[in-house]
Order: sequence, then C-alpha cells, then structure tokens
Amino acid sequence: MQKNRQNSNTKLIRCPVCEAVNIDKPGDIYCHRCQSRIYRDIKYGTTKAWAYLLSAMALYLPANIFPIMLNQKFSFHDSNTIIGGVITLWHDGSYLVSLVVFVASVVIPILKFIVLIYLLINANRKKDKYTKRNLHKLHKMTEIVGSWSMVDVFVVALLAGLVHMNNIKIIAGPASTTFVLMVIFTMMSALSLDTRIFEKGREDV
Amino acid sequence: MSEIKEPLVESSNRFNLLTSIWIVPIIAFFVSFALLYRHYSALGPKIEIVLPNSDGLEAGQSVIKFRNLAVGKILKIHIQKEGKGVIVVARMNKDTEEFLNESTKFWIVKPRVGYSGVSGLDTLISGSYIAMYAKRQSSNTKRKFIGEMQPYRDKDSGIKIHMISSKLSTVKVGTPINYKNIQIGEIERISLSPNGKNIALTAFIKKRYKKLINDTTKFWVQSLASIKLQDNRLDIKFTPVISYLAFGGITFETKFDKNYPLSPKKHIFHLYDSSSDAKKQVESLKSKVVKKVIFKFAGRVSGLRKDSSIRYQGFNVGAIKNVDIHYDSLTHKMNAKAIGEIETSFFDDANKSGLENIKKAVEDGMRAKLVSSNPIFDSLYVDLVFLKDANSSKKTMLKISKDGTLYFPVIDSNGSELIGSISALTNRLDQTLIS
Amino acid sequence: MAKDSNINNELDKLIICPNCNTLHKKIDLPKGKSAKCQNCGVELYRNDGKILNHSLALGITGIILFILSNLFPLIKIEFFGHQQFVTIPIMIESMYEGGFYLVATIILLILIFIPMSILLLYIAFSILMLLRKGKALSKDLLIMLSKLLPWNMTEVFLLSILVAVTKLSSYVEIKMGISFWSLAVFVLLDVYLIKHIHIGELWDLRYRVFHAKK
Repeated sequence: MQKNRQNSNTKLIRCPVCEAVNIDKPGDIYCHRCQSRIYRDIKYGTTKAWAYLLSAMALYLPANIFPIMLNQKFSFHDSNTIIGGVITLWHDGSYLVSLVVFVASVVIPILKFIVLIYLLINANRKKDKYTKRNLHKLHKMTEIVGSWSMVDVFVVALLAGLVHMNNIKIIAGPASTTFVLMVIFTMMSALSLDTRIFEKGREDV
Repeated sequence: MSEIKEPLVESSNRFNLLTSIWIVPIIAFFVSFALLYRHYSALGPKIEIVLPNSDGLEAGQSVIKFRNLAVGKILKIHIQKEGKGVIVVARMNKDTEEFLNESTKFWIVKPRVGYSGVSGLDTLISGSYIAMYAKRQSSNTKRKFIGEMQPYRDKDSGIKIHMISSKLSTVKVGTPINYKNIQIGEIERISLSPNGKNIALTAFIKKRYKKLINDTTKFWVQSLASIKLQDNRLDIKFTPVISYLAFGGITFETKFDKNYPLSPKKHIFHLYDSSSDAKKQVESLKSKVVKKVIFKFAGRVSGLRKDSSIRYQGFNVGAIKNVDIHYDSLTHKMNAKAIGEIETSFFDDANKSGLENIKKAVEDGMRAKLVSSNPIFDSLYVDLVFLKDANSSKKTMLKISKDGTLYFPVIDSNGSELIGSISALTNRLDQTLIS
Repeated sequence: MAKDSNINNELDKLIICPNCNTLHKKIDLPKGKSAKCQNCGVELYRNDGKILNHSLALGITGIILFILSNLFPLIKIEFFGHQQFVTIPIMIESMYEGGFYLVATIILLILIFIPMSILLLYIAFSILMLLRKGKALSKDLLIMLSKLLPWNMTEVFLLSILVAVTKLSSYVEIKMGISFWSLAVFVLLDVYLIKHIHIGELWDLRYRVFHAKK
C-alpha cells in the first residue's frame, strides 16, 4: 500500500529482521533500527531467488530417481525411491502415513516450485490491490510450509540410525543428499525474495 | 487524510493459568533430574573382559548372555596395550551383581545353527555374543575378568575327549558329533598337534551320552550320504542336511562289552576320514598292553621330542614321552636318551604275546632308527626297521630291565643299510593283524 | 539529522502486517490484549506484561528439555529378542559413518545447533534486558535470532519420528523412549515461544529498556 506522509508517494517497507517500518528508497536499503540490509537495488530484485529456485528444481530430479533408502535383509537388497516408499506404505495399509510422506515430499516441493515461479513471474507485471495482497500471503505461506519437506530426510536418518543389526540394515541412499539440498534451496529462494516486487502496481510505469 | 489503520484490539489468547511462568522451568528441572537419577541408578556394574580377539563382537550392539538371557551389553572394545588381546568393556544388568565373582567365566559364541537352546534366527540377527557361566556368591564380586578361549563346560555337564586326525577335511569348531542322527556333542577346539604332523581335536560329549564312548569307539567324518551295497541290498543314509552343510558331522561306532569301561580321559581317539577307513582299522580285542621303552640315539637328534611317534611299517605303535639330550665329549656327538611307550599288544598274534614277538623281531634284526617326518618342522620319529646285514654271530637282544622297561637297540640314520621289510617276518605280522 | 530521528520515531509508531502487507498504527494496548491485522486477522503484537519473564523461563525450560531429548533413546525396537535404540546423536553419527557427510552436517545444524542457539539467544537477551546492559550486544543477539528462526525444524522432526515408527511397526515391536516425550513437550514449548513472542516485541522491549540511553 502506498503511503502519503510528509512527502507524496513515499513507500514503506517492513524489515524482515526486526519488523520495523522503513522508507523505500532506490539503491540499497538499510533498516533504521537494526541496520541490516533489507534489499539491494531493485534491479537485482529477483536474481537470487531465481538462482536458488532453478538449482532446487534441478536437484529435485535426481532426488526422485535415486533411491533414498536401502534395505538390507540377510542377502536381500532392496532400494526405495521416495515415490516407491509412498507406494509401499500405501500397499501396506498405512494410508495416513503414505499420504503424509506423499504430501511432504512430493506435493509440497512441487507446489513450492509452482508458487515461487508464479511469484517471480508476477514480479514485474502490473497488479491490483488484491493480487498484491495475495502475493504477500502466498509468499508468507511458502516460508512457513517450506521446512516440512524435510520429513523424508529425517525419516531416513532415523531408520538408518536405528536399524543396524547383524544381518538387517537400513542405509541411506544418494537421494538424501540431493533432497536435503533441494529443500534448503527452496527455503533460501523464498527468503531471498525481494518483497518489493509484489508492490509494483498499475501506478508504476 | 491518511489511510493508516488502527489495529483491531482483542483479548489476548494467552491463558494465565500459572501464577507464575516460573513453575514451568522448575517442573522441567525436577522431572529431568528425576529421570536422570532413575536412569543412572538403574544401571548395573561395568565390567572388563580380556579376550584374545573380538571375533565378530560389535561395540554398542553385542550382548552378554547368561542362561540364554541377555544380561549385559558391550559398550566398547579396545586393544590391550600390555598384552596381545582386546579388552571388552560391558555394562551388566543391575541384578547380576551376585554372579560376578571368582566362578564367573566368559567366552565368545559365534552365530550357528544347530546346538541346543539357541534358535537359529535369533543369532543370525544378533550376531556373535559373549556367553557367561557363574555361580551365585554374595561376596567377592569382581569387575575384571579374563575370557576363556573355548566354551566353559560345567564339569558335570559332560566329558571332554581328545581326537587326532591326519587331515582336517570338513570338520571345524562346532561340528556336531552325531549318533543315530542325534547330536550328542560337538568339537570345541582344533589345533595342530605338538609334533606338527596331525590335527588335534577336543570334543565335548554331553553327560548323558558319555556311556556311548569307550575304548573301542571309532570316530569318523560323516559324508553327506553314504551308500552301501551290502548283502544285495542298497543302503543309503543321509545326514541332516542343513547343519551338515554348515558344520559337517562326525559319527562313531562303539562295541559294547562289559570288558570295556568308559575310556579314561587321556585316551586319544583317532578321527578317520570315512566310515570305510574306520572299519579297516584294527582295534585290539584284548586290553592294550603298553610298555615303557628307552632308546639311546646319537647324532642328529634335535627333531626328537616329546610326542614324537614310534612307528612300525607306517602304523603308530607308540610315542616318546621324554627326551634327554646331552653332549658326549668322547664321541663328540649329541646323545639323546628317549623314553617312550610302545603298545606291545599291537604285535600280538594268535600264539604269542606282542612282547615275545618283539623280542624275536629284535633278534632277527629289528632296530630303532630316527627318521625325519617333516623337514619344515624339523621333527623326527622313531621307525622300527630291519637291519639288512644282521650280525648273525653277534645277536643283539632286547634288554628288559627288572621293572619291565625295554631297552631297544638302535642304528645310525646314516650307517648300515636297511631292509625295508623282510617278507617272512612281515607276512607273519600282517596275518596277525588282519585276523 | 534531527529530522532523521524524527522520521525514525514516526516510523517506529507504525507496523506492517507480515502476512498481507497492510500498514497499521501501533497503539498502546491495555494489559491482556492483542492487536490484529484489519485485513487478514493475523496477530501483530500483544501486551501481557510478562514477555521478559516468559522468554527467560521458557528459554531455560527449553534448554533442559532439549538436553534431555538428546541424551535418551527416542525409539526402542525389539526384533526376535534383539533390542536396538536410537538417540539423536546416534542418528547423526550413523549418517557420518555411512559417508553422508553433507546430510549429517545439515541435520546436526538444524536439529541441534540452531535450536540450541535460538534458546540461548532468548535467554541471553532476557538476561541482558533484566540487567539493563549491553545495548549493542542485545541488538546483535536479536539480529542473529531473527536470522536463525526460519531454520528451526524441530516440529518437522517430531512428525518424522511418527512416520518412521509407522514404517517400522509392520515388522518390529516398538516402544517410544523418554526422549520422544521430552521432545514432544519441547516442540510445544518451542512453537509457543517462537510463534507467540514476536521479534518486534523484543525490539520494542529493548527500546523501552534503553530508552533513556537511546
């Protein structure tokens, strides 16, 4: 929302570090209360966010192709990908857990990709008041929900740490590394997004 | 005017049930303190066991079992600095305090299928473990123990017998000893015999089966199937497959006769390679007669030692018990006085006793000679052979002392020619044996 | 420069909704009341006068619970007579042993290092406020705190434990360990501490404490 204060057309932005209100200026902005740099020059607006997002998307492919967990029972070796694990859980009858893992490891990351792409694309378009607000809400939600994709990684770590008996072992698979990095990159992408891009409205040229 | 909004004011949802928030950390502190206290006071004693190696044990995982119940867990395994083994540090359960005393014994058990008590699947999953034996004692608890090399058997639970074999084949530690397809014991220990030529085995026989063993017992290694054509009938026997594949098997045959009491512990049994080998072997029908014998050798005697065998025509007829070697300043040679035992009943025949046959053989030229059995181990054995050029004029006699000790004449290893066998004598002896 | 500080003072009287970006004026609240966004209803700040006590007490409780959660087993399983258990350190160590150095380090950070640091920061800041010292230090602490907060994933971990337990329940016998329960309580506390004490309130608190010096 634009504000009129002493001068006209002064835009105010919120510092993500200390929640203080600051005046939007061209160039780099430093928060008046905590002196952390809020945003860089607007022309850099979405570069970082795009970089992180694309890396994350690239990492998501191997995360699903490689197995995330290796099962060893006597001499029977079995490996599970994320989606394979979901299907197995479903077949075993644990419908709830199967859904949980599916949502956390497949739905949420893909949704995040879609939402972030949408947010970044809309950065330079003209928006009306409602769209702007929705964009902000979407962004906030992405930040909140982002960390829940880590479920699968923790599950694998737990099982690998727990099941290591003489002939029965669970070992983590290569997908865990890529998956972890994917989650971190999507979180960093959301965090590094310059929210001023949502503010470009019809009023701007 | 400005569009600055004022926020909506509502009651805070934070409920103020606690008079002070500080109740929370205080509760947390006490609860965690109680938990920690309970955990540490429920811990049992920590003990150390010294073992030759860690043989499949895993720190943090392997357990200690007493009467087949897990009573302790291995925490750490580290190298024994002042020795050649490893030190296993374990945490025992609280209630084992009374069982950690002088009588306590520990040994490593490796996973196996077969022996009583442990179900196969159990150990395949849990891996090697340390077994424990102890008698309850309220005082004198110990914390440091030395582990056993082989399973400790309570003296009442059975007997140990010793076997000797020329080669190892499929037998290993844990190989069961079967009788009519029931497992009555197992091999506990396998090592090289002192003279390096044979394999010495120690077997354990369960108490209630020990009456199956006597002096006539012949052991042999089982094969997977034995096929016998006998009396126009085909007899096929199979051994229990799974345990055989893992451990092989040994079985035996005993002649029961009131003349044969249970074998004394010192008796060494021969482990034959197959049932046909065993059946070929002659067992003396009468009791064994063993005589003390003394040989005086000179020259290269260094490979002669205790347990060196005394042989005739390839058969073991005795063994050396003691060797005394000293330098002879007159002949400048090393002299060895060897004291041993000969089973004279080996030479028994239908008409005469073995002792008389030996006396005659010596008159006919039988001498004792040192032969090298194994150049690598530098071991010698005493071979009873015949001199070719017997001094017919000067007949050498077997001297027998008052207490029955035989003084056997010897020949140099590099000297007089030898006759491998004199057919007449050999035939006569052969006939005796085959009957 | 007086104009600058005037502007800053004016700015400090405002607050922007983190969810929908609507601007509001900060008004003084009577005790026990909270302020919510007009547009989307999200809580902006509250006043119950106990923020300092709360953050200190809960921070200390958090540390105690957190240490407990790491010491004892989370899950205990029994399979054909053989027992196994896992604690958080064991879990991380087995990832290291498996060669997954990156994953292990990341888990170490987000499950141990970051939550611990967050709690310590809360405690340190509260102590500084009580003692009314450390103007610059308290600022650094708050900045560090807000940078660490988004990376706290203990509640995700709690859910992961439940998922893992379900996966195992089909073929082993499971018992939950002490640490699981202490972790559950910790997560409740954590959620309360982080979600309901806003960073902005802490900054305001700091401002009030150092008001004279500022």
